[in-house]
Amino acid sequence: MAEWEEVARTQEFEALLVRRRRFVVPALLVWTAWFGAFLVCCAVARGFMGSSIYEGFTVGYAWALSVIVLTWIIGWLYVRVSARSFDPLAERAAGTRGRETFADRPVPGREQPAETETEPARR
Amino acid sequence: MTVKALPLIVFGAVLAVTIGVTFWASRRTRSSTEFWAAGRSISPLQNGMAISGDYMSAAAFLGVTGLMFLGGFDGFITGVAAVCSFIPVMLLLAERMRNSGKYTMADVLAFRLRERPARTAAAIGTLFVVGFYLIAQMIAAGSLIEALAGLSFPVAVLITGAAMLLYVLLGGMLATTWVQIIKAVLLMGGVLVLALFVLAKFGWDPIQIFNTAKAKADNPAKYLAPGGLFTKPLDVISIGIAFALGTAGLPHILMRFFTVPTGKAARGSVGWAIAIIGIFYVLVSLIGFGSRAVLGAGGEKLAGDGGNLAAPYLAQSLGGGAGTAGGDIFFAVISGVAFATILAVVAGLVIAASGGVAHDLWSQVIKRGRHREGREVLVGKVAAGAIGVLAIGLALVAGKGFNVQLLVGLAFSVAASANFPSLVLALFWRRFNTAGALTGVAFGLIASIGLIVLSPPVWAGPDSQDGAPFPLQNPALFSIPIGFLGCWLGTVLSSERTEARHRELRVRAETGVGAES
Repeated sequence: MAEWEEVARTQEFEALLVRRRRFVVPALLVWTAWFGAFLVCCAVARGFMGSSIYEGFTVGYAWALSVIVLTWIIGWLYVRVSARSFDPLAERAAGTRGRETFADRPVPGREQPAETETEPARR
Repeated sequence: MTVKALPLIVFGAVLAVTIGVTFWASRRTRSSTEFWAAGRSISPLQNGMAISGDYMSAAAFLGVTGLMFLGGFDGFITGVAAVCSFIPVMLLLAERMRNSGKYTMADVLAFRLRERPARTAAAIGTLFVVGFYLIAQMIAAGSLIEALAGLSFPVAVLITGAAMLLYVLLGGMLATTWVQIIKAVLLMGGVLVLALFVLAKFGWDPIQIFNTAKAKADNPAKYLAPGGLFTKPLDVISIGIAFALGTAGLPHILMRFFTVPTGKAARGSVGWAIAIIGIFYVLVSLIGFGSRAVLGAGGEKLAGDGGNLAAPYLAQSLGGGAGTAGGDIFFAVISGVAFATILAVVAGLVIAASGGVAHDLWSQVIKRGRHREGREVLVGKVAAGAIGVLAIGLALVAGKGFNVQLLVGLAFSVAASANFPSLVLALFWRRFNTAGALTGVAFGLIASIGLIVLSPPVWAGPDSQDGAPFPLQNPALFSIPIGFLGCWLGTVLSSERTEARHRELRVRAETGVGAES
């Protein structure tokens, strides 16, 4: 079996895909909604965007800055969550090759099969 | 036009430092990996700075300042879109590109699709984007240097072109990366000092800047509201989308992910880039409003077409005004920053184009991967030279009156409509296949160029504003969906199945197992 197929069978790989999707999809939706609403308001709600919040500090400029801040927050969160959650899973998925796959995970009531493959050390 | 000594001295210093770095890098650039990917030796912070350097063009600094000077708030909208465009780059592409490719965007498509057609399509997409962008930057370089230092347009284009070729041919990606880093430091330093001067002038009170700018605008009631530049509502949406999704299809940005050692480092470098570029645009917005507040309507003649010279003249005014030592020095320094900005961006574009020609078209499509290692670099250098000379020639032919914003908009539109859909679908859509990539690139490209030709800036006629068949200035709002439609249509009309290769690509992209080291 090719190396990648063994990785693909690990539960860590499945978990990695699911967890990363759980972060990326909502983050992209929030991003699209907040930036999209900003563009739409720039297009059709010009008076509202030009109205002053405080002494000439406008809704539009505040919203523009908030889009940049949101970008910082999503970027920072993604780097952080990746380091804490996704990277260890990816490393385990890559490192557990030939050992912990769905095929030979211990099943209750059955003998654990002996380790048959002897893998050369990974580079 | 008289030659200005002080800006020329600063330009000379910028050239001396960057060429010095190039000679240092030239001793470390032999193999293909060194030429196109700097030996994968760049750290996340360095690469984040280099991405920022590649991305913050003269259009971003001088152009956005100028548009804010002329049109107020609308000028800032493309800046906001530019910052948030790194979210899809980070969440969808950065690590996955690094894990699944070698030197170019096309590597990712070629991994799961039929190699030669997929690579050809991606290389064509790359060359169109880079070509439009490169010519735009060369023309901008010529006219800016002419205005800033008093050199004639052709001389300015030739100097820029010569420096660009020197960096790329001698120092490859390593020199290009360090030129980007030097430029990013200079540019951030320049905008920070300029923004602080603006703030100091208005008693460290941004509110004062807004209100003074508003009072001095041609149309005060509208200056701080949207609608100053983009009169048609759909224009602002289309341009915003072009910038927000275009970055994810810019070959010279995506190529930077191959210069770092791991996928994790690629992700980290986008993190740094988001931080740097975000700060940059916040500062530029202060400079943009500040330029109107300081220069007022009287500055419109100085600032020139598109307001491009508003930033250096703002510096001159803040330094003490024309003719004073402070004013002249500040003007020269900001001009030098703009010069470094231009040099770095064109070098990054040329190396991306040479990857498309030599690594994709020559080595994989024509030679089918059968060639000696050293040959690829040689062909890459020949390609870089040819592309550089061609761009210099086209910039000279087009002349300084050519509409640069149009070319930049076109580059972003093709990037978002032709490159982005096939790249994302190759990574995430199980059913995607070779025919889908080909039709996707073709649809995106033809829609972008076709709609631009039919749009007000290009369509000839007595009343091109209202008489053009396609009413918007930028086609992205329509051409991106057309690009995706092309990908889907080609895929379902072809019986080719690539699910098995996609599973392998997915393992590689998500975990880095099997990634190029």
